[in-house]
This record gives sequence, structure tokens and C-alpha cells, in this order.
Amino acid sequence: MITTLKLLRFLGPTLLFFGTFVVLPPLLMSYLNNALDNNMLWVYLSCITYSLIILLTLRRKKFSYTPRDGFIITFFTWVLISVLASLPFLINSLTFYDALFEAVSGLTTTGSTVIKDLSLLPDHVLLYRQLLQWSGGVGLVIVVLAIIPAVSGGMKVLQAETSGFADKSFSPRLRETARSLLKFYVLITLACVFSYWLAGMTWFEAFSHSFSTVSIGGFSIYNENFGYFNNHAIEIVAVVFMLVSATNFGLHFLSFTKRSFRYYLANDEFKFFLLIVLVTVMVSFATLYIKEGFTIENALRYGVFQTISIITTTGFTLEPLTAMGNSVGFLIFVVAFIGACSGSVGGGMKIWRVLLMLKVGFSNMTKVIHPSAVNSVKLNGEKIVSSQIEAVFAFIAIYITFFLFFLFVLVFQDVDFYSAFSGTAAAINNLGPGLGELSENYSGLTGVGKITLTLAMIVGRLELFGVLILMVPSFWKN
Amino acid sequence: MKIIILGGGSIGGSVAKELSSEENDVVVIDNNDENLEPIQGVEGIQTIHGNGSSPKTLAKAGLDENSLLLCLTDSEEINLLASLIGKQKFNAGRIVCRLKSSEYTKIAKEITPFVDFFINPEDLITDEIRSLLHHPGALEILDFAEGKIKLVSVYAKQSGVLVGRQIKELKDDLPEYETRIPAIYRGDELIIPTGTTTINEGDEVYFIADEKHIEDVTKELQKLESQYKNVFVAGAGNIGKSLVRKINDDFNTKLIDKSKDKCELASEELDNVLVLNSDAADKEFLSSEGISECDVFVAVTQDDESNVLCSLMSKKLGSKKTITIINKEAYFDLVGKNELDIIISPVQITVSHVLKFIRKGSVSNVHKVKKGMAEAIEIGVDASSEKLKGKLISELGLDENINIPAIKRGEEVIMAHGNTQIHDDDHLIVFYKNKDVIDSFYEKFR
Repeated sequence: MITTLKLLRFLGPTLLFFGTFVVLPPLLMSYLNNALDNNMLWVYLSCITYSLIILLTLRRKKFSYTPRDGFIITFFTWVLISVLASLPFLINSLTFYDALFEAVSGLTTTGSTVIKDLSLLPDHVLLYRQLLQWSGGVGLVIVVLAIIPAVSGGMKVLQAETSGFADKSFSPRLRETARSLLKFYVLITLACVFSYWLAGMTWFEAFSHSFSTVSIGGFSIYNENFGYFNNHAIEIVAVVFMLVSATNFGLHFLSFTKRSFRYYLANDEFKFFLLIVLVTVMVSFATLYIKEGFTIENALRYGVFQTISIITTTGFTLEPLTAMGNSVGFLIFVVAFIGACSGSVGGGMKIWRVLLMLKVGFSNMTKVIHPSAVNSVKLNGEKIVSSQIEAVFAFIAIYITFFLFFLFVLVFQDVDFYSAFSGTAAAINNLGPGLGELSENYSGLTGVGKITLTLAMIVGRLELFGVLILMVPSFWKN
Repeated sequence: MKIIILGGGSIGGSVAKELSSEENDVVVIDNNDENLEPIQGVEGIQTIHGNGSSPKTLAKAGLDENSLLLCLTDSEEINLLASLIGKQKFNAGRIVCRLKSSEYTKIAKEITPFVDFFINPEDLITDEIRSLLHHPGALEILDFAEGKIKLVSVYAKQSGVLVGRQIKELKDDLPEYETRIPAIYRGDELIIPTGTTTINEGDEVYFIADEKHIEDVTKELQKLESQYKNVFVAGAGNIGKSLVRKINDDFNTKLIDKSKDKCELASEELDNVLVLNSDAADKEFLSSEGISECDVFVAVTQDDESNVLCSLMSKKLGSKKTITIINKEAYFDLVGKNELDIIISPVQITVSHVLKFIRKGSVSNVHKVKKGMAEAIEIGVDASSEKLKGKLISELGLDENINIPAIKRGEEVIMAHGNTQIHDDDHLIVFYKNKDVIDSFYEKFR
């Protein structure tokens, strides 16, 4: 009962934020275009009304949050917001499955779409899609924490949503941390908008695409995605901001406030991230040039832009991914499992986990050769204790189990294996477009298929445990 | 001079004995009676049981502006605190403070700027072992003139070109650079050689040379060993860790310790080091880790007996060379040179460095040679030694117990001849048998 109250209380500011920053701009846009979107108006009004009620009733009530509350609140907030966010799509002749898929794909910064032709949608709905990604990127919970004064135990709520996205490198105070993060996120977004504009986009295009770039989302307002622009400068800007957003924000913050680059160089995860990017880009380039017969220019363009877009789990495309041939497509989808850095807005298993797994692997091989060897697995110069290692292995094992489960469901829906593999990988890693049948959009899937992938996106976004823990019976027993 | 020493363990005790024999009044403070017992009866040493950093104890010891305070306990916290109290409350004349290889080393100069001399035994010992590893064949390497020249000892073996010949023929073999042989140990006897002295097989020969010529001179005395590659280090304590940190890039290193905790700590602190948890004297273990491929086995545990034991074991199993740390002086002669190749005495190294500071101001280096059987010092020619200036070395009337093999002049090091003239500000490197010899040398020229 108390937990329900806490959830209701938490939803207040969340809906206020959602209404103001995600629903209101497109609503105003539709009004200015003389085609007021009634559906959106209703969503907006109900958001505001709800938060007003909460403001008047529960505002003064102080709660302290346990980890259990954190998981419940996070999960149900996500579910409720997802349903709410799907409402504006309903009038645009989408089924409930489709609308939910589209909304979740936006909020989880996945970037898969079921809409066959974006040009049929009015501008304000397109903007709304982009805003969904932007707000999902920073994580609704963080926003709420920045607004609510002094949430005791709020860190536990945060843990449920993010993997060290907001560690204590910002500030020992949670609220300060959340605010710094927000400021930083907004700052990077504005820098991205300006760069896109300089590179040749219109302001509307620049804003829309910045929202989906900085959030590692992947939505575009055009069917052709980034292929629409066919502009090298724009692609370079996108590459830079995708890399920036896939890096730990704590690192950016430290380097920015201390005005020194040495924090990047001292971070094992960041160095490994660069290595992965470099190697994958080179292999893609070589494969495209030698095996697939691309020209040097195109091999370079696709090798850099397309590879980085997929392995950072953004999901922008120049052309449907099938154009790159099966080999490169498969390679970058496998690399996408590694994903982005911890504390970034990207998806995947996160680089530090994979790095840690590799280090444990090497250390175990040493033990085979030297049975009495004593090894410490270190990350950033600090010893990782075995309980952390166990947690990482458990995570990876469950991640793969979930992946296989979703893959089964898709295969049982008669999707061919290659497409099913790519679709599931794209959903669970919050990546976006798939390969094969799914390389343009996901409209060909059955309803069950769509629901499966929708769930996969949420599982990936909340990093499994946020969802999984709700299935453990003892979690519900007091 | 009044000297107050904190810590009466192996280092403090040895320094105390050394200094009391040089007509100083020495007070040793230790909170462990066991440490004080062996030095209690020694002439010139007073012992106080108490905490070295306590102002009361320091007052009882009579610390004042004319006395010298040596903080040599195992704990750098106590040493630093005692230095601070010694200066601020008692205005001690001069202060020596012992540190360990830790983060304090970096900031000690900032927080206690009044300390005249910091000493870090771990660092000294590991530096010495490192330079021995880099110069195969060398038994002892001592620095002079800020490391510009080295005093090196090697065994003369049948394979050496010069063995069986006279020292003056060295010049024919190596005409391009100069080197000096200030001392030879034959059996237990120290010989200060002349040009006509013949080098025999089995002699331990000391020579002075520039660092880059060490290899060539060594070749004269024995067939040069190939550079070392595989090094086993037994003991993951402070010395072991700091040694591995210094040599890991140049050698294929394995660090061994019996204690699981120490191993874990070491693997946490060191990068890319193979840390093995086992008894270093375990035959099976050493064989399985390839001891027969081992070039040098370095034993640096805290326990003398373990060091000797595992060195012997490794030698038996095929390790080409051993370097063994031994603290107890009594053991030096017990283990002959046939069993253990190089013995390092942390106490001697530390005492040498403390002495370097305490001896009269003009002395810039003091080295105990051959575990204290002789000394080599570096003394500056200044106002206090007016009589030396302008003299030729042959005019000094040196006997067979003392010689001056080299002189540092400005930035240059020159090998001394009988007709080399001594200038103002020269640094003389003097090699002599015992303290009486140097004392009479001082008296003559001061």
C-alpha cells in the first residue's frame, strides 16, 4: 500500500516532465499549424491534472525509498509512461501493438519503427517521436530526482534504472548529480543542434535529429533516415556526437570541470571502447572494400558511419543495412552486444562488463599454466572483488538467456533466422533497425512478435535485473 | 656529539654500535626490550625503554639543539611525528628520518621540510639488487660521484683474460679507457694491490669504472655471462614488491610468497606481474615453475633462515645465480661463497647511508665494502683539509692499507695516478682497510 503511494507520488513529477517537455512542444506545433491534435491535448491535460492532484495531496508527504521500492517504481513508471506515450500514435491509424512498439522503441532509445511511411505523418508527430527518444535517453527517473527535493534512498531508485549512469563522480548529493547530468545532457544536445545546423540541416531537422543522436536513439523524421541528407559533414557531426554520448557522462563531467583529458586516458573502459570502435571500423572498411566491392569512398563512409552507428547502439542508417552485405551486418550486430560505456545513454551489455569478463578469462588461463598463481582482476587500477565478478557473469548469462528466449519466440512466429537474430539483438541492445526482412521497418511482424520485441526493449533498457527481480516470488513477500 | 636513535632493531642497533665506536654519546629509544637487550652493555650507548614519538621520552633522552636525532623505527608514522616534535619542541640540531616505499615518501619533504636527510632502506636495497641484475657477474656495485662511477666486485675466474697476469697489463688490454683496482680479497685477506700484483683465480677483485665500461672490465676477469632473463623473487613484502616494480619491465619476473594475503595484496598493487602463492623452498613447486630456466633467484623475505633455505634449494634445482638478503651478521660467514652467490645485507646498506650523512660534512659517500671488512668513502677537499690542496698523490705517503683510486673534479671523473695533483673542491674516492687508517689520514691532513 505504501509502495503504491510512493509510486503515485513519483508519477506526479514524472508526468509533469513528460507533459511539459515531450507532449507540449508537438501540441503547440500542431496548434500553430492550425491542426490542433486533440488526442495529444487529452494526454497533455491528463498529465498536468494528475501531477496537480499529486502536488496538492501528496507533496508534503516524505517517503524514504528502499531498493524494492526502486525496482517497483521504475518498472511501473516505465510501463505506465509507455502506454501513455503510445496514445498519440493511435489516432494516426496505428494498431495498439504498433503504437506501443513505437512508443517503447522511442522511450528506450531503441529506434526501431513499425511505421512504413513516415512522410504520411504530420510534422508534430514526427517531433513527438524524436522527443520521446530524447526524454528516454536521460532516463525519466533522473529527471524526477532532479525535481523532487531530498529523496532519501533515491540512489536505490536510480540503481534500478541505470548502470552507474549517475555515479558519485558528479557530486555526493544525488540531487546535484541528477542536475549536473541534466545540464550536461542539455548542453551536449544544444551543441549537437548547432553543429547539425552548421553542417546544412534546417533548424527543425537539426533539433529533431539531435534529440535522437544525443540519446543514442536512432529515429529520424525521414524514411531514408540519414541517407536523406547524403551529406558528409552531417554524417561526421553524427559520428562525433554518437561517440560522445556512448561515453561515460561522468568522464565528460570530470574532464570538463577539471579541464584535463587525462581522465579519459586513465579509464580502462573508455580505452577499450575506442579500441573496439577502431578495430570494428577497420574490419568493416576492409570487408566492404575487398569483399563487397564498394568504392574506397563508400567503403569508408559506410565503414565509419554505419559501423559506429550500430556498435554504439544508435541505429542511424544511410541505406537499409542489407546494402552492406551479410558479413558486415552480422559483425556489427554482434559487436553491438558489447554496447556502450557504463554511465552513458547507450545500450548493450556495456563495455566494462565485457572487459571484465575478458580479464577474468585471461586470468583463469594463467591459472591453468601456473596453478599457484594469484591474480587480481583490476579495472581502472582498482581490484574487482569476486562478488562483482559473479554479478557480471550472472548478468551476461541472463542476458544471453533472455536473448535466446526472445529469439525463439520470433523464430516460432516464422521469421527467418537471420532476421529474427537481428531483430532480437536490435531490441534487447536498444539498437534499432534489423537485418534481412527487418532492415527497413518492423511492420512485417505479427502482433506477438511486436509485443515480444517491445518487452525485449524494456528488458534491455532496465538492464534485466530491473525486470527480472519482479519475477522472484520472495520479492513480493514482505 | 650527542646522538639519539629511535628504534633499536637491526638497523637502529647497528647504527648505534657504529656511532658509539666513533666517540659519540648515543641514546637508543625503543618500546621493545628485546631490541634494547643486545646493545645495553655496549660502551657509549644508553638505552631508554619508551615510545620514540613521545615528548616525555625525548626530553628524558636529552634532545636539544646540539644533538642529532635519527628516527629509524619500522613505522614511518612514528618517524615523521618524532621528527616534527623533535624540531618544533626541542629544536633538534639535525634530523634523519627513515621512510618506507609509500605515499609518505612523496610528501615527506613538504610536510617536514626541516628534516636534513631522508633514508629509505627498501629503496636502497632494491636499487642495489636491480643494478646487480643488470650487470651479470658483479657481486657488489657501489655508487660514487652521484653514480658517475661505480665500485664493482667480481670473482676472477680461469676464463678471464687478465687472470694469472699482473694488474698493470690491464692497460694493454683496455687502452681506451681507464680503470683502477683498489682492492683484492684473497681468502679472508684484503690486499691493496700495486701494478705488479698478480690476479689469481678465485680472487674477489674490486675495480672502479664508468658504468658503461663495467662489462668490458668484467670480461678481463671472467667470461661474461649472458644478460639475465628469468628472475624469481621470493618474498612479496615491501622489498619484494618494490623490487618487482623496478625490474618487471626488463626481466621475466615471478613473485613468490607463502602468504595468500601478501600475494593478493601484491597482485593488486602490481600490474602485469605473475604472483605465485607457494612456499619458495618447495621442490615440486619450483620445478614445475621452471627453476632450471631461472637465471637469478632473489630471496627477499623477512626471515633470514627462509632466504638461505630457498636460495640453497633453488641453486640445487638449477638456478644459475642467487641473491640472498641476510640481516644477521653472524650468518654471513656461515654460508660460503660456493653455496650462495651474492649476499645482501640491508643493515649494512642502510648504515652506510646513515653514516654518509653523519660523518664530517665533507664526506659525501660512505660504503661498507665486503660486509664491513673495508670502507670506501668519497671526501670533498675543502677549507678543513687545506693541507691536501696542491699535493701530488704520491706525496701523501699512503701505505698498503689505503689508496685513492679516483678523483671527481667538477663533472668529470679522473682515475688517479701517483702524479695526479689534488685541487680545491676535488672529491677523493678513498679505499681503506679500517677506521684507524682513515682517522690517521684525517689527522695528517686536517
